[in-house]
Amino acid sequence: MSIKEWFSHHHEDNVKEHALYPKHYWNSYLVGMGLGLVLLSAFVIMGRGLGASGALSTVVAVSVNEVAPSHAKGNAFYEGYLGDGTQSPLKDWLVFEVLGLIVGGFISGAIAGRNKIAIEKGPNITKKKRFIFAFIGGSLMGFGAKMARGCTSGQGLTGGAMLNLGSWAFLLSVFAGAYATAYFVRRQWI
Amino acid sequence: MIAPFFKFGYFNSEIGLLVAFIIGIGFGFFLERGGFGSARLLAAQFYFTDMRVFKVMFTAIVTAMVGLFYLSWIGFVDLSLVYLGDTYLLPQAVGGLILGIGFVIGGYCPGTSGVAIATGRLDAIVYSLGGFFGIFVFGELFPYMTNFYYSTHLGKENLPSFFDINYGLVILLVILIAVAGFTAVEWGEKVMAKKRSGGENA
Amino acid sequence: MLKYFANLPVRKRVGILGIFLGILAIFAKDPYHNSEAAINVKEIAASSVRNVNEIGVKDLADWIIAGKVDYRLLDLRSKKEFDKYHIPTSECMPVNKIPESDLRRNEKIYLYSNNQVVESQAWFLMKAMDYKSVSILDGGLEKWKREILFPSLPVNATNSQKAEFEKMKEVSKFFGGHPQNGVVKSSSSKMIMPKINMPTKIVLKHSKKKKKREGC
Repeated sequence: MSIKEWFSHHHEDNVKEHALYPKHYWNSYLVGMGLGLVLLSAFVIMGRGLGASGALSTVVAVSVNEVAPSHAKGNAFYEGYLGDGTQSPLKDWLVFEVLGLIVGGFISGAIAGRNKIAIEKGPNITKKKRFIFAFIGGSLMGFGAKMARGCTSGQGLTGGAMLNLGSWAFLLSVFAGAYATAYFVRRQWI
Repeated sequence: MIAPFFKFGYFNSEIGLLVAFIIGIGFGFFLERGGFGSARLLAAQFYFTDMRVFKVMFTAIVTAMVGLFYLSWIGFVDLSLVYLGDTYLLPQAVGGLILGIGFVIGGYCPGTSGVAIATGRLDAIVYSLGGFFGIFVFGELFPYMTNFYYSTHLGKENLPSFFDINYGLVILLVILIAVAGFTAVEWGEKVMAKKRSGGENA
Repeated sequence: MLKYFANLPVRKRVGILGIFLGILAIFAKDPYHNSEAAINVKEIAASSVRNVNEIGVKDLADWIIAGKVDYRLLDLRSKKEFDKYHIPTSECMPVNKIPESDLRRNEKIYLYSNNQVVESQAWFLMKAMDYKSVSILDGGLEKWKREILFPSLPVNATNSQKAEFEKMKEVSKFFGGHPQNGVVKSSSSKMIMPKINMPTKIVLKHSKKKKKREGC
């Protein structure tokens, strides 16, 4: 097999069954190495890793602060994201990183022609149900991410590469929780 | 040791925000390249029909881990200046379980939902709104959960120090587990593909 | 052997390379607790001559009063001597405790002691461990006592010296010392310092250090 074939969707053959899946995703290992190098550059340049949930938390904290400032300032959790007032809390590393993430995702999707308004769901469920599930899933994710001090990008990738004990425990729990629940929501995907 | 550059004062935090943006572009680009902007592909991991979540994540972890370790060994990176979060074993495990459940129900995680929004997926927007809501609920309940949130605090702990093994040996073990895992997954995917095509290739 | 390797599919090659890197990693030292250091002898020799690694007692006093504590001040003497008196904002750090300390390579580190040899040894040790900013308090603890705690006016003081002395009186009082009335013979090399014990009432301004979030 030539390198060109390896780079193509050879390993995505079993995915071709689902006719809606666009082709030309890069090989997973290549993507993984690319992500690993991005993470490594963050380590080397900034001395920190990646993240995503922190940016969401900052947005929540700022919103709560707009609506009810005294309540936000009295809550230790929100306060941690609001800073000490010397600069806007949105001038946060993670916020800018997530903005870049959206741009990068858009660029990649645009190049591959995968950008279109759509709803990701399996064939055996309605759009309305999918939205409900998405909201519930998102809420659980937000709650769990804050409990664990991070999400799969921050705790998972970053902490994993640093061999952080809590991060590896977190990763195992994420996979355990997901596999355990998969059977019960299979109607949504399969 | 001259890295991490920011920690040694080579540039200020404003430039750091620009660096964040650029790194984010790379992050989002590769996520989408790998198909992580699609909830169906992400969820397929947990039905064993597509193992890319495992493959990509583990490859990324191993790549960054090996790179960081070797750059530290040659004295380029001061590993003690790279941020290592504290370990709170119980809350992190419980939080992971909850996040995993949310992952398979919603089909995304925070980073991938951003990529999905960028490529036009409406359910990702709903998912992110749910994420905001979940964080808000956590924030409101936080004052009543501080005991649990700060329990089992082990400080800065990593696998080598916790299990009292040589750091390099842990690196080798992680690589071996990765190689074994990938081999098993590739074999598994081949078997699934054969099964689904009804043995045509036999 | 090489031909066999070249004929393997790319995946297997990367896997073998990975395992090789893993095996090689066993022979490395622990990245966090490294007891070996490499020194650039030319660089250290040059910086010893350039004399740039000193800070003045008056500067230090000004920083402490202003609350500008962006450094780590290390007292290299024993714990007993430290407890009896130490410069405010300093930490007790005998030289043998330095390798296992939590000092970071990007922090500003100032050293002082009552022994110049110990100060130089600690400076050299930290430079060898690749700490980027290490400075010795010029004159050590003795000069601190002489100029900050117990400032005195020399004979035939000029007007500017008298004005300077008035300022130092306030500084000295801040640190709980006593300005010396009368003059001290500048020729005496071994001055008997008045006894000073750790004052309990020094009010230090603590600058609000914003902890930048680095988690996710």
